Amino acid sequence: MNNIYKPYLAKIDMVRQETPDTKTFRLSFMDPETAESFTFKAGQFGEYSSFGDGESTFCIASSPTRKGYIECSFKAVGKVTNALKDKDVGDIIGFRGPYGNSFPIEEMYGKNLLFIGGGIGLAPLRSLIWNCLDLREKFGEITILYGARSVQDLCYKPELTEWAERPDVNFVKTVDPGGETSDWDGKVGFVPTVLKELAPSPEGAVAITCGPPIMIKFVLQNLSELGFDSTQVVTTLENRMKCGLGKCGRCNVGKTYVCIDGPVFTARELEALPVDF
Amino acid sequence: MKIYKLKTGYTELAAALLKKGQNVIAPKFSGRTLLFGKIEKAEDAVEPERYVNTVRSAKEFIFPATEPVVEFSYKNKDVKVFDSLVQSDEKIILGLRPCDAAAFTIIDDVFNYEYKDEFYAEKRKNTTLVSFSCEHSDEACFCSSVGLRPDSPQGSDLLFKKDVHGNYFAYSCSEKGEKLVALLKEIFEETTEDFTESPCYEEVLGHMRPPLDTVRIKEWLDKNFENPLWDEFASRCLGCGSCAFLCPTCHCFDIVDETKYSSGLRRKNWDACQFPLFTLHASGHNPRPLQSKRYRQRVMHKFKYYNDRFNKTLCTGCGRCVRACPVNLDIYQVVSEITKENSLEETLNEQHL
Repeated sequence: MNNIYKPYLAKIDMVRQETPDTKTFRLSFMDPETAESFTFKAGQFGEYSSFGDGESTFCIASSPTRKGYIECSFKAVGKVTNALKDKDVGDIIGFRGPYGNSFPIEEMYGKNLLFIGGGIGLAPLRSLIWNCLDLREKFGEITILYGARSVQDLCYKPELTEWAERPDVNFVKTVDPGGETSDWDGKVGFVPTVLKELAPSPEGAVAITCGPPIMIKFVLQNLSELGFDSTQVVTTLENRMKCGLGKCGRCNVGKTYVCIDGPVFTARELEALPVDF
Repeated sequence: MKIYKLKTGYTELAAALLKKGQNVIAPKFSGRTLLFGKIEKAEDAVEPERYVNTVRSAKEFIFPATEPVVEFSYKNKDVKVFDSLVQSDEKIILGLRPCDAAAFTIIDDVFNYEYKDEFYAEKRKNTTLVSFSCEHSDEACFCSSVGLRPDSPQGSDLLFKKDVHGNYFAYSCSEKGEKLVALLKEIFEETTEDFTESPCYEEVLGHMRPPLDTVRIKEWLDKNFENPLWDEFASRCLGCGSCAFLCPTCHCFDIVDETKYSSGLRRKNWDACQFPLFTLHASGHNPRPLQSKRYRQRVMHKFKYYNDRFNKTLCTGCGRCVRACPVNLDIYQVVSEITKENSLEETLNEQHL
């Protein structure tokens, strides 16, 4: 009998403070066999637990091409994330996963990729971005548009610099009006507005977006205005979840279980769902 | 399906099971409330002719209201996790109604697809369901609206019916049912008499509210995610969740940790889509911020979404949600309004043509 609710134990190998309230953990599995056999795909998620506090759902933020560890990024907002925030290198947490579907990476081969991220919504995109950059020759142009409320709310700052410096990446960063500092060298404006200014061509392109619901809403609208068909736009939903296994009934949107059928959906698939997310 | 005549009454059947050392769960009184519980003395088992149904369903014996899934201990950096999944004892649920037995065949789908929930499957495997056809219905019952009858065999391992003289006949519907008959062979004898068309159950059926058309209900739901009727239906809903907790097919749950010093349990606890916290994101965003949206989810899940996914209606018409609702919100009335609206729409369309 297999207990689907039993978590793996994972050790925190590295902690990075991304923003004042957001952290990234690098985790390795305690059980050598699990560490050896564990595989996942970009876009999948897991249930991370602080024992005694409960479980929370985050995506796996690292790339499947980087073996031997997984990473997750989370904002301290609730009971579990506030408990996780206080953990340090060497502490042990629980992990169940990987769950859900993944980004259709094979279908993106040969295409121009447009990543549009907002705030901590960059986490699932980061998994796919590094996955694609590690297989760089398989893709056309890669454009990354990333924004946050303010300069201090930008996640993965060292990696943003790396992307900006790479000749094979077109990187654009922005902060919401009022969130800029005196030495800010990026754009000032909401992500959907900056997207319109950029006016990327929909020809042979796939847009992958994740961010706060309000940003996704306007990004989808603007992509459509730019001529992107809803089958060319991919996003990832993050409904509240508990089991991650299609049982507990929390993430249902119509007949769809976000945890099993998602979290990755094309804009076309979202159009078919009742507006209940 | 083999038929056996029971040579004794109900109490003697319960006594025979206890004598064989069986773990028997059956309706018994707790004060004045009829609930399923473990039977120690055969006389405690209330005869099926004395009740319409229990207050709570038999769901909790296979999918408990609260159940540990793992135990853990943590001391500094030393964390240990222990599996709480154990082999379950064999048990017999005696005296349940066909609607409650049918409920398990409906929720089997969700607990077994993709990932198998062994906490459910293990108890389900080791439970024998011995149901008794209904001799009465009340104003809340509506099983005939969801494709069931007072004597439906769905889900039962053994289904009892009565003849006009008050003799019990058992229809064995599964291997587990056969096994039980074999265990009590001295009080059963095989027979060819068949009460499938017993007039007694037609009469119970006749007293029930008229059957609704689930196909029409679903057709309306397919088109009316947005409809002012949802606000109207839900305007008096308190969001107390009684309906979900008493329902034999509601299966939503929460997963929470409980601790004592440096050890604890992680539990699966019943939860309900009628609570505002059910879908609340940590960010503050809530996909279903209003009771009308949560009530819509309940009706949609029962009569549309579950059907779209598993090709089954997530309701057995047991009527518990109707009996328990503190504001008399009646799901039968709600979905019958819907069918009325549906036919009104059609009439209008025809007139326009």
